[in-house]
Amino acid sequence: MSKLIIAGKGQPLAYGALIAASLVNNAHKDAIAVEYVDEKSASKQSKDANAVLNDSTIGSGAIIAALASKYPDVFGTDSTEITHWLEYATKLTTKNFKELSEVLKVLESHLNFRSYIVGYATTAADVAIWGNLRANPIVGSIIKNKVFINVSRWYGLVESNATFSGAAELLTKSLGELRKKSTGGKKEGHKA
Amino acid sequence: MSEVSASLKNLTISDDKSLLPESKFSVEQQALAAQWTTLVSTIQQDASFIPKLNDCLRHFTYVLGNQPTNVDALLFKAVFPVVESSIADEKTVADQRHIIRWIDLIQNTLIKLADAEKLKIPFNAELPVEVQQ
Repeated sequence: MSKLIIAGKGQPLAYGALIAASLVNNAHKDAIAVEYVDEKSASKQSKDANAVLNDSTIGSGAIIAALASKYPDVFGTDSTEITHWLEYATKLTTKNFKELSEVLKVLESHLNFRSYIVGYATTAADVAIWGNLRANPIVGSIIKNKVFINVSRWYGLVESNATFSGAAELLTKSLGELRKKSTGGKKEGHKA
Repeated sequence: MSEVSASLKNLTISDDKSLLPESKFSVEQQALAAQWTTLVSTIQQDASFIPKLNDCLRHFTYVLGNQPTNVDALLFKAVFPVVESSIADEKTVADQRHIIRWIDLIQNTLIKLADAEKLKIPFNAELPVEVQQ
């Protein structure tokens, strides 16, 4: 069994890795055990590992790529196109609106004639890009206001998959349980 | 009528397990389904049909939302020949981009066409960016 650790205070939150693991577990029961730590980093070897797989693969993006090549039945066949978009996804973590807009323009034009990022079903590319957009606090209003029409349409399509839309809730819930446990069941004051 | 559009009539849905069944349509989806089913018979006379469908597909992947339905299959058969006859024109491609995207999705998933029969999608065409009105 593989082990994925998610950092609850990761920057950005590792939604992509969490979604990828959930997709694998939907197809292969209990293939990946997911644990959570209430820290900025999920690994002692690195200060800012938002997630770590089997103590060796560090960071959400690398984990998605590793799972994608291990489970082609879940993520589709690896291709240079998917690799290209996995790399692209790393640029979506910026909180600079102007910079992000420039990056999203590329996706907007790519989606003129495409419903999914690559091919006709969800692949690792959708997981990586959607996960980083979901984790970026400045993206919400961009999607809602349809600043990029095609991007918003694609985002909604991916979001209609419960494994994707449920990732944030799953993380919040798991962290809540973790914090409850660490305070010995004591009621904690409300934190933001 | 081209050979492709003639053979379209006999097409069946290749993957009907993925279809959202009518019994699960929301009230809104039921209304939309009824509207499109009525409208599709006017496609030859009604010049506004194609722009209407394009508008509808701008914000949703399928005609009734984020899941394929039998309405997609019905409209696909009617719309395919119309779009096929006009796809060489650059302006048309820009104006019908959402329909073209949807046709490509349907012809590769819901109603699988042989490669030779598929609408050729101008993936590399540079289109002006659309702005939300």
